[in-house]
Formats: sequence, structure tokens, C-alpha cells
Amino acid sequence: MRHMTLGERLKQADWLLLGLGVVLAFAGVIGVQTAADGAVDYGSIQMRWAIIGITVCLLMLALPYRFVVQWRYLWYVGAVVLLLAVLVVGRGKSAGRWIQLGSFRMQPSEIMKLILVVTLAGYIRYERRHRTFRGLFTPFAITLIPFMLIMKQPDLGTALLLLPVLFVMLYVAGANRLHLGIVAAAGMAAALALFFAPGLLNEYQKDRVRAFLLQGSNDTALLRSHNHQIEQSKMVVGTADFFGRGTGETTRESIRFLPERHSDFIFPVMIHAFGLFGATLLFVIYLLFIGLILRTALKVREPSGRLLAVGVASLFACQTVINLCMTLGLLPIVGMPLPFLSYGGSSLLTSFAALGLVLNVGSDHPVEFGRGDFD
Amino acid sequence: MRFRGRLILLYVVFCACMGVVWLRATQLQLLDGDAWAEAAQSMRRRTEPLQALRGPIVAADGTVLAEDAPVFQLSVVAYDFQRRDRVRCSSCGAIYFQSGRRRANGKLHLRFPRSCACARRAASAARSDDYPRTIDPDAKPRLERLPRADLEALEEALEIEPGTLAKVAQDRVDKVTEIVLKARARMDREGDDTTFREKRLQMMEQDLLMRPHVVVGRMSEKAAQLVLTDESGRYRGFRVQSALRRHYPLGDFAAQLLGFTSQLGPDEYGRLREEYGRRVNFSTRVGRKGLERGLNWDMHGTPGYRTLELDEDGQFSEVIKDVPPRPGKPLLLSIDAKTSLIAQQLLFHGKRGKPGGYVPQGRPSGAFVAMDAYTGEVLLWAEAPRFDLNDGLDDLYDKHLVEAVADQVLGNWVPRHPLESRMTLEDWRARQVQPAPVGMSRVAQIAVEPGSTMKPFMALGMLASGLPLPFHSYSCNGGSAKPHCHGRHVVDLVGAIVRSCNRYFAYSVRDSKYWPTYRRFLGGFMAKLGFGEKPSSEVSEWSAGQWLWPWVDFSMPTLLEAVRERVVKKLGDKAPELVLAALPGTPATVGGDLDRVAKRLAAVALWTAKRTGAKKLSISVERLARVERMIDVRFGVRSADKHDWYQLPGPSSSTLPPVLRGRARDKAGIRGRLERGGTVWYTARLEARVGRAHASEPRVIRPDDGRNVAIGQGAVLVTPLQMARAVAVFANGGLLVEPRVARAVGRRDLAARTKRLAIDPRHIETVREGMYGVVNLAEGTADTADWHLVPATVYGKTGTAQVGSTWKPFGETEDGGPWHHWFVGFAEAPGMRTIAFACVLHARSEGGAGVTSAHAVADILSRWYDSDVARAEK
Repeated sequence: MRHMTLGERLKQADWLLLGLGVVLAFAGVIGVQTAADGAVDYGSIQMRWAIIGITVCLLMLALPYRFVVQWRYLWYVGAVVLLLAVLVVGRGKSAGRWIQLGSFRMQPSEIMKLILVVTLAGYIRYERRHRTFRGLFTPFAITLIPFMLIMKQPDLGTALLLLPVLFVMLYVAGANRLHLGIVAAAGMAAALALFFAPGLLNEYQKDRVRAFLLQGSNDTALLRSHNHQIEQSKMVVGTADFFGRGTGETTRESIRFLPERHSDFIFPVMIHAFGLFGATLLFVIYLLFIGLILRTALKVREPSGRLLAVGVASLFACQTVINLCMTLGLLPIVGMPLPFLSYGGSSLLTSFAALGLVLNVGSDHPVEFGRGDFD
Repeated sequence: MRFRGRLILLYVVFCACMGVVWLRATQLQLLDGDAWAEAAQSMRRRTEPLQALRGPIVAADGTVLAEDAPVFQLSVVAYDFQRRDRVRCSSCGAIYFQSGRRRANGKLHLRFPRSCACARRAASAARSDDYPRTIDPDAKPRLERLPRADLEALEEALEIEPGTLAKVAQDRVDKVTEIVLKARARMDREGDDTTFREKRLQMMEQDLLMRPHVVVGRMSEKAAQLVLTDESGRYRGFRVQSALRRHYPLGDFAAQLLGFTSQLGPDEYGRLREEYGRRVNFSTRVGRKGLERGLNWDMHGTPGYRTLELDEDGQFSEVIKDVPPRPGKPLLLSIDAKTSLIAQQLLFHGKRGKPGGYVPQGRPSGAFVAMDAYTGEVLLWAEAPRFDLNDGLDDLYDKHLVEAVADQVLGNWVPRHPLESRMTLEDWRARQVQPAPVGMSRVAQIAVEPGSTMKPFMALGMLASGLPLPFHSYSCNGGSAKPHCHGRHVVDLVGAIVRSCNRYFAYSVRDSKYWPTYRRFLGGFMAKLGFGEKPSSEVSEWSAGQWLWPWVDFSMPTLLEAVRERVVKKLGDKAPELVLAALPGTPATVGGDLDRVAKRLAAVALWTAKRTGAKKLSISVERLARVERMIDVRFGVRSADKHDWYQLPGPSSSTLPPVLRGRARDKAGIRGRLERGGTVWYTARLEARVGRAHASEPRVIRPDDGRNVAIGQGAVLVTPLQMARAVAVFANGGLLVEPRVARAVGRRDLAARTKRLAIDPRHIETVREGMYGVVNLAEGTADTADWHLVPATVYGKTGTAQVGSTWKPFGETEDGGPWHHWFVGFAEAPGMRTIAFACVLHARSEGGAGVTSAHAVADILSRWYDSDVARAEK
């Protein structure tokens, strides 16, 4: 089989998709810079990560994605080891999610998201047993191992993100909808059990859920404790103008009470700075971005490539929806960055790496099938 | 469905989700934008009150009588006394010890697993300076860990008894702990099992635990320095704060007139805020008594505020707005404080260098007041007994007021307040012994029988009636029947005043053929002279005295004693101890059927005693008034062994906090309220049934009272201030002035209020002639005083009321309280103010009757005319 040259790949790559990713990343830099409180120059750091991210994206474009998929178990085991390492040496504000590597802090769960997509894509591509009920066991096992480890950190948001990604990949790969329905129902029951069973969820995690359910309460204690963040977020969104208040001092004053405004809560900052108009534009970009990834999946005939593109699209889509819902009080607060926009090196690198993989898939046409697989 | 179809479906779902998110953002921004904008303001800003400097009170001679001064206050912070080796976990309720042993639900467990996050957090909290999650009932904050020697050093610096500080501070800490535990119990009882129960408790506890609670309202600089310079943590838990408090440089001078201030009660805040707006905030201290109360809003000033912005942790970030407070207006009095002090010294503490004053035995008691006869400006004010305003009565009032508040809200907010003052409740109560409670002013609040000082007014009334005088010449033989007189003499009206002939006036009024006319006329005429009405609206507490109420059947002490007797008779040994008191404004005597009122009060007391099992009951009579043929009585009953704060105002202090005046509606409510230590108020209207003919008009002299009124021995009660006002009519030729103490508020001079009475000047001149004789003629009753020292012409009248404080019907045994030795009159000097004065000394008969007062007045007047103020006016 002839491998495509880098030149051919670059020629074939979907530059609009990359361009949208870059636009989102630089919008994120502006947002992070606005949200920065002055103590740390988050904007410059984010800009640095964005440039590194673009580089990583191009590197991923150069590397044939089939190699990545073939070595999937190696990546998977490596990521699991990192997740285990986090439990021992992990550091963080509220949970031990990071590993300190010199001045750089790595978040293995972010890497795991992408590796899981790769692993699942490879597994479904080559094993082909997912159309039976029994066959669902292995992909679920592959997902539940990192799920449990991430939960243990604890990082409920990232852990819960893995499940919809799995479901989407299985669904598009042609898994039986009844089987998926049964598993989903069982999953919901398990989630309820998780909530009520003592010791499985941390109290603060339960409180976040309860705070979400008790929104609008006048309880001062509630407002000053668990509801504080969600109320502040809604306040920042609610007090913005239609065209925003810009990135100047006015916005900085208004958002200063919003915790985690430069990372998970970057969207309220963006909407405050650029208004509903800016937010609408942002939504359009995200819609286009996901649409283009899915178009790549349609364009590609190679099954693992298709699944990779779908997996990455579902990853970005779920992350985006959950993060936006969380910041607007439609979902409980979980630790979930907004792709490309939220501050964080691990998150940005992973996002660009995922984008690079999709670009890679889109530019590579190794096998021509008479009919697309999974049809 | 093919692959393409699945992808399209997923994309549609994604678009739908994004659509929902967009709609939500639109709702928050476009629809709810205003509400969020409002919420944003309130959540991020906090307004702190800035106390306004209250206007000072300055006497006419420039002496500062009251001013706001910064004081150091000693506070305790309960948290700092909390044991640090035990912490209760908010998650599981377990108590952790640093030793690693865990106890949950009262059971001891083995060491907790170190991997337990809860345990780690708890241990971490115990090590660090983080706040404890909750109060551990088994590890109440204790002061014991403070070294004894260090505490004693602080107590010595504070000039308080050894051991007091530890006790007081521990009491405060215990109180805070108790409030928190009560709140916890209430939440348990009410089934508050919400997620944030612990969080709410934690916040409340932190708030209470971390807030400084004042235990010593004022401390010396030395004591403050001791705590402030403590670097070794010896006084950990104690804090020194500064605040503005009222200071009275002359201590006890005119204490009852000046009054004191206190912080706001919970109900008052809402009411006053509505009325006075921004002039009221939680830092507001309002006058509770005397001038501080009467002219409160002039001196009060306008508090400022400071709007602070808070950071995300709720901590102070920066000042957004700073509105400085506006100080209150100074109050300039017309009183000459220096001469008044001399008068005070002469009257009660030493006469011309000799100890004892003019009241030779017992506790000095009496009053002297002098005013400008034309304007009503009060110039001299002296009285005894007094209390030192700096002794901390305001602190005591605050304490009891605030504990009431704490009771009500169960500790949600316990405003800062001093726990203890130098004056204790027991001290204060001990001073309220009837008939001479220290809280009431002898000048303006305690009305007593005027004795013979009534005669000039009776003479004027007789003349003004237009009838011929009953006796042009009356031969008095002293008499064997009452009223007795001083000796054998033949007198006319003027002579009767000069010699103070009892029989002349008694028989003129009662036994003459003019009696029916006098009966109708004199009552109304005396009322025109200000008897029976408040002399001024300046201070609402000033008494109106009593004038000719025809049904003076029982006194308040008699009533309360009757209640006690009934309760003891019914319950025997099981009878609770009764604490009975009459609140301010309640008349000392009232007409009506004693038994009926006593029966009603006793019935309620019995019911309460049986239902609550209280060993001590308090009954406070707030109102006892005659309305037509009925007696209106309002009284409060409470179990005094629960709390005892409410009695603070006592029979002679200021009003009760309005919060305590709630009325129970049902028996269960009443019982519950009593069990909680609250006061239940009752109002009853009882038929008087006095068994005598009812008079249709209140100011008609009753036959039995005729002789008494004529010589001021009963049915009439007058304060010295009223008497000075009335006697000024003789000095100014028929002008009824309104006495006023405040000359100016800020830059605004207060105008004199006068009323011209329709009195024939010739009648006034006749009486003046008699009053001149009293002082200046050899047969005058006051001629022995040193009038030659007074550079003015003095007119006066002596008087002695032998009836004591409890009126006895004429002819009955004279016993009981002290006599009232009066001397009233006026002094005229060329080019100087004409001053009207009244002096009364309360002493036994050995005191020398009204002549003693005349001597005292001569002494004081000589000092007055020699004073800077008088000379400056000349």
C-alpha cells in the first residue's frame, strides 16, 4: 500500500476545518486574557499552548492515522498507567487530576479521551462484534476502566463524557439500538445508585447536583456555597449587553467574582465580552466545526477513519454542549472545559491533536470501497 | 438506517442542543437581564454603617455635660477558646481527635483509617487555623486554658474583681454555644434534613464564633494596651475594639434630666427606619431617658455608610462609596452647671464646710430647681439621690435589650453588645426601692404633697373667685382638733400666708358659706396654674403630678402587696416569689376598688404559677388609670426564673423595649410564651365600685378633701418643677411659663412658651405681700434664713407635708415615709433675671420643716447671684 506524502496530505487537508479550530483557539486566547485576574498572564500562556497545539495538529496530520490506530493498545495501556499514576502523585485544587512534569502540569484524563476514541475506533474496525449484545462487553470494558480511574480522581465530568462518546461510536458503527437502549437504561439505574449509595460519590459532587436542582433558592448559605458559581455564571451572562461590553475593565469588573472564569467558565466571559451576538457567532462556528468533522466521516470510506472522525466529533460536541449547559444552569457543574476556548494546555493540545487526526483522516484515502462500511 | 442517516441524526441532535443553549442564553440576557443586574449589585457589595457623632450637651456656663467619646471595649471571640484537638466532621458528624481516635454517635471507635478523606480533612482542620466545622457539644469552648495569673493581671488593669472576667467571658462563650446548639436542636426537631443544613449551621456558627462579643463596655488605656501588646498569645480570645460611647464628664450631675442612650431594639429599627429613613441604621444609639430621649433626633446626627466591594471569597476588597456621617447638633442648656453643682453639694453633702448638708439623717433626698420667671429657662437643677451615668446603665440596658432580641431570633443575629457593665441588675434594682427610686427625678418626676406652699395659690384662687373673703380677720388659737396651727394669732389673708395659718385656709375653704362656690371654682383655677398637667413637652417623662382626683383610694405599693397576700393565701408554701413593679407612667396612686384590681392580678398570677410551675413570677403594672367609672389596668406576667432582664426599666426607668409588648392570643400561645420566658400582657377594664358618690367632673374638690387641699396635705401631688412654674406667676404678674432646659439646638434658639392668665394684678399683689412677709417679716416662717446674703428681694413660702409619700386621709395617724420640706418663691434684683424657685427636701420631722429648705435656698441664691452666669447677665 502506498502511503501518501506529506505534501499530498497537506494538499488534501480540510483547511476550513483547521481554520475554524484556529479561530476558536484564538478566540479562547482573547477570552482567557479577559478573564485573567492579573496575577498570572493566562493569555500569553494560552497563546503559547495554542501555537504548540497547531504544531501538534500538523504533526498529527503528517503521521498516518492507521499507524496510530494499529498501536492503539499501546496508547491505551500508557494512558491507563498515567491515570493510575495520577491517583498516587496527582495534584490539583479540588481533586488530584494533574501530574507535575517540571513546570508543566499534564492532565492524563484529557489525553485519555482521545486515546479512548482511537482505541474504540480500532477495536470496532477490526473486531466487528459490536452488533451482538455480548459483543458490547469489550468496548464497554475498554471505556469503563478509564471511567473508573477518572472517577476516582475524582473528575466526574470527564468520566461521564466517555460514555456518550462510546454510545455514539457504537451507534454509528451499526450496533443494535435495542441493545444500546438496554445498556443505557442500566447505566441510568447505576448512576442513580451511584448517587444514593454512600461513599461512591463525594459529598461536594452530590451537593453540586442538589444545588442544580435547587436553583433559584433564596437560601443565603446555598448561594454562598454550592450555588455561588452557578449563580455568578448566570449573573455574568445576564448582565451582558447584546453586543457585549468588550474585553476591557468593565467586563473584568463584572466577572471578577466568577470562579474558574478562565477555564471551565470561559463561556460566560465570552458572552459578557461579546454579547449574545458574539455567542451566536460562536455557536455557528461550533456547528460548522462539528459539521465539517462529520462531513469528513462521510467522505472517508475506511472504517477506522470514519469512526475516528465520528468519535472526535462526538467528543467535541458533548464537551461543548455539557460545558455550555453547565455554565447556563441547565446541567449541574462538572469539571468540563470548552474545547479550544478554555484555558489549559492539556485540553488544548488534546483538542488540536484530535483535530489533527480528523484532518489526517480527511486527507488520507488508502482504500476505496464500493460501498461505505457500517452502511 | 445507513451511516449517513445516523450522522445526520446525530448532527440534528447536536444542533437542537445548541439551539436550547442559545435560547437559554437569550433568556438570561434579554428577559432576566434586569433581575440579574440587581442581583449582581447586592451580592457584591456590602454596606457598613458609620456611627454619627452625637451632639454634645453643654451647660450655660460652658460645662460639657455629655459628649461622645471613643472608648476601648474588650470583646471575646468564642472560637479562639475552642479546643483545637477535637473537631467535628461536617460530612459524617463524627468527632475526631488529634490522637486519632474517633467517636461517632457517642460510641468510641478505634483509630480511624488514615486514608479516609474525612479524617484527613478533620485532622488538617485541627492542625491549621481553619475554622472548626461545628461546635462540639462535648468540647464547649473553655477559658480554663488561660493562665490564671494572666487573667488576674488583666482583671487588675480593668479594675474588676478577680475571677469576674473569666466568669463573664465564659458566660458569653457559653451563651453563644447554647444558641448554636439550640439552633441545631431546632433544626433536628423541625426535620431540616436538607443538604445544606450543615452548611447553614456552619455559617451561623462561624459567624457567632468568630464575631467579637463585647464583655467590658469601657476599658482603660492601660488595660487595652495590655491586650494589644500581647505578642505571646496570653490573651488569645480577647480582642480590643474601639467605639463611640456617651460620656458624662460630671458623672451623676442631673443624671435623671440628661438620661442615657442605648442601641436600637429589633422592632424599633423597622419603625424608626420608616420614620427617619437614612438617619437610622444598626449603629444607631437612641436616647432612652431624659433629654437624650426628648431631644434625641436633634442630637442624633445622620450616620454615614461605606459601601465595600467584596471579592469572590466574600472578603473586603475595596471601598466603593464612602458617605461620612454627619454629627448631631449640640444642645445648649440654660442650666448653670457650676452653680447647680454647688447647690447640689450644699443641699445634700455639706453645709458650709460641715458634712451632712441640709438633710441631716438618712439618705440625702430632695430637689432644688430655679427658673427664669419670665421665660421659663431652667437655671439651676440639683437633686438627690442620683446615679452615675458612667456606671454603665446604658450597657446594662443594652445587654438586657439585646438578650431579648437573641431570645427572639434564636441567635441568628446577636448584635454586639456589652455583656456586663459595672452596674449590675441587682445594683440597679436595689436603687429602685419605693418611695425613693433613684431612677426618677426629684425635680420633675416624683410628685409629692406640697404642704403649706399650696396656701398662696389657694389665696389667689379665693381672691379670683370674686367672693368676699371668708375671714377678714381670723383668730387662731392653734386648735386641739386637726389641722393644728403654730400658735395663737389673729390674721387676715396676708397674715395667714406670712404665718402659714393652717386653720385659716382649712376653714376658709371647707367650712365657709362659700364652700359650694369654691368647690366648683378652685379645682379649675388651680388647673390653670399648671397643677395636674405636664409642665413642658420637652421631656415626656416629666410628671403631671395629680390634682384633685377624688378617688384616691390605694397606692401602687398597696395594690402590689394585696396581690402578694392573695397569692400566698391561696398557694401557701408553694406560692412563688413575686416580683412586683409599676412601669413608668403608671400613677403612684389611683382611685377604685383595690380588691377588684388585686383580685384580677392575683388570678392571673395564680394561673401562671400553676401552669408554669415557676418559682418566681414577675408582675409589671404598665397602666392603671381611671376612665369614667372604670379602672383600666394593663399588666404583664412572666416567669422571672427564666430570665430577669425585663425588669430592668423597673418602676422608675425608661420604657420597655416595644418588642416585649406582644400580646398572646390563645391559652396555648400564652403558655408557650410563658414557658419560653416571655411576658404575657393582659388588659382589663374593671368597674371602680368605690361605694361613694361619683363626681361628674374630675376637678371638683370633694368634701373630705377640702381642708387637705387647702393646706396641701392630700389629693394634690406636685413636682418642684411644677411648683416653680406656678410660683413664677406671682413674679411675672400672671404669665404661665413653660419650663425648658434646652436653650438652643445647634444654631437654633428655642423660643419661650408663655401663656397670659386672666388674673387680676391686685390679687397677685396681695399674695406677693404675704410671700414677702414670709421671708422678710419677723413673724414670717422663713425669716431665720440668711437672706441678708442674697442681693435680691426674695418672696417665698414654706411648707411641710407630713403625710409622707402615701396619702393618708385627714385625721389618721401620720407615719410611713419622710416629710416633704418645701420652700418655694421668687427673687427679684434690679437689672437681673427674676428667678422662680422651688426646693423640697425629704426628711423626717427632725429635719426642721420647711424652714430647713428656706435656709438651703438662701444659701443657694447667694451663690447664684455670685456666679459667673448671673454676673455676666448683669
